[in-house]
Amino acid sequence: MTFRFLGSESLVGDSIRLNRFGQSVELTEPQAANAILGGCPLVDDETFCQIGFAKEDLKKFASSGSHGRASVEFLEKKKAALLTAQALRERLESGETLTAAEPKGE
Amino acid sequence: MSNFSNTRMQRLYVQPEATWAVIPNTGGTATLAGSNCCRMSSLVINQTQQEIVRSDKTGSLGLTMGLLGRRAATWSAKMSLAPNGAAGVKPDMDPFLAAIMGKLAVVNTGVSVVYGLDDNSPSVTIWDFNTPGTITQRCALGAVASKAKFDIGVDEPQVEFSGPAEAILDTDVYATADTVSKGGLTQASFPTEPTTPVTNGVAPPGFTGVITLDGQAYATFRTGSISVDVDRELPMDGFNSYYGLAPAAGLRNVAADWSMYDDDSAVLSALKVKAYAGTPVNITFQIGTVAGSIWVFLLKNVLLPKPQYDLSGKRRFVTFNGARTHDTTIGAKDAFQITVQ
Repeated sequence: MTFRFLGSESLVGDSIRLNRFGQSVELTEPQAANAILGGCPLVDDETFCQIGFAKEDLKKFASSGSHGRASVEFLEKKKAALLTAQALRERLESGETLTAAEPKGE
Repeated sequence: MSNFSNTRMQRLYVQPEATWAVIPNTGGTATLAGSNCCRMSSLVINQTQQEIVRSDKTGSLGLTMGLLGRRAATWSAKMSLAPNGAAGVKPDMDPFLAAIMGKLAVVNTGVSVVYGLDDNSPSVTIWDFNTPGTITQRCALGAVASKAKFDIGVDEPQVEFSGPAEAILDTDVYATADTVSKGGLTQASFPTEPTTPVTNGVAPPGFTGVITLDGQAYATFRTGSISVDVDRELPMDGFNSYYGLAPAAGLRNVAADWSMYDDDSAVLSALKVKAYAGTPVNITFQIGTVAGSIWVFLLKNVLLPKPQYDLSGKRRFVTFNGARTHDTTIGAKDAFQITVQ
């Protein structure tokens, strides 16, 4: 499964280092559940793309330290992504599996 | 050939306990997971057991063998002030913050995580794993937080938590440990370290942010610290018990020390006047400027100590040491609050 990172820096095990906003990462379901339950702010790729971040913005604001200069529009999209990530975390905490928590297609 | 352990190859995992001194478990098997990992710069857990020396005379100056007394345990953990990095998500150190503050955080999704004070004594299980895995691995169970100290204004802001614990369990003694030390575990062997630890966030530069003293922002602030002493202990005088009793808490005492450049501004002068008059003020130390990586320490009803002047540097400093916070009303529990936003 493909996820997108929304935080400043997360280490998942010894080999995965996430440090860019919107960074794409392939994780197995158990890996993703462990990371999300461990506080790693991730959303599934499909939802992230639906939120509609501009490519230039993702380049420009790859470092979370740069978000102080970001536009209101970008920050609103970031907040929407964070709310989705939080909802996903809460569903996992309540015992749902990641597959069950995935967004359903139309 | 035996193996040694490098001290940098150590990992801390922390889990909130639903019941004091019961290691989180399902059917006797620990529920420890990679998601419980928290980066730290120092973790020390220790158990002591004094010898009860028989006082009766033997007619000799030699010491006769005594009996083993009660078992006491302590812990301390120091780590950088790393928030999650995403606003509204708990930092990895959340169980420690809840333990020192006395209750769980309030999460405002996408915005902030707020830690307020309460009179409870939440406990945690602290796991201390080291490489190689064949070396002694340990955990402290029934650990309560008694003290915390937060750095303000330094390059890498850190926090240190410490307190007593009920017992230390380790790989060497697991098979023969008593039920108290096992903390509810019945699995065949000591839990192994999770294979995929997850850690998040980077501490903001500790010298960035906003320092607000009595409603005025000061750019002349240098460094300081906040000390939280909630005076929790595990009473070691219970009859028929080799271990501490359930947590007891004393008076909460939160105080700040800081140093700033002295100047002749009207606002600083007014602050000094309030120190002499005993007029309480509110103080906010904000560390960090980027959403998701900001700490805000709110200290209310602070009775300022008398300013002390320090001429040891090229420019004169004024220091306030032991600025103590107070609840607004009895039982308000609002003397101190931490917000991660």
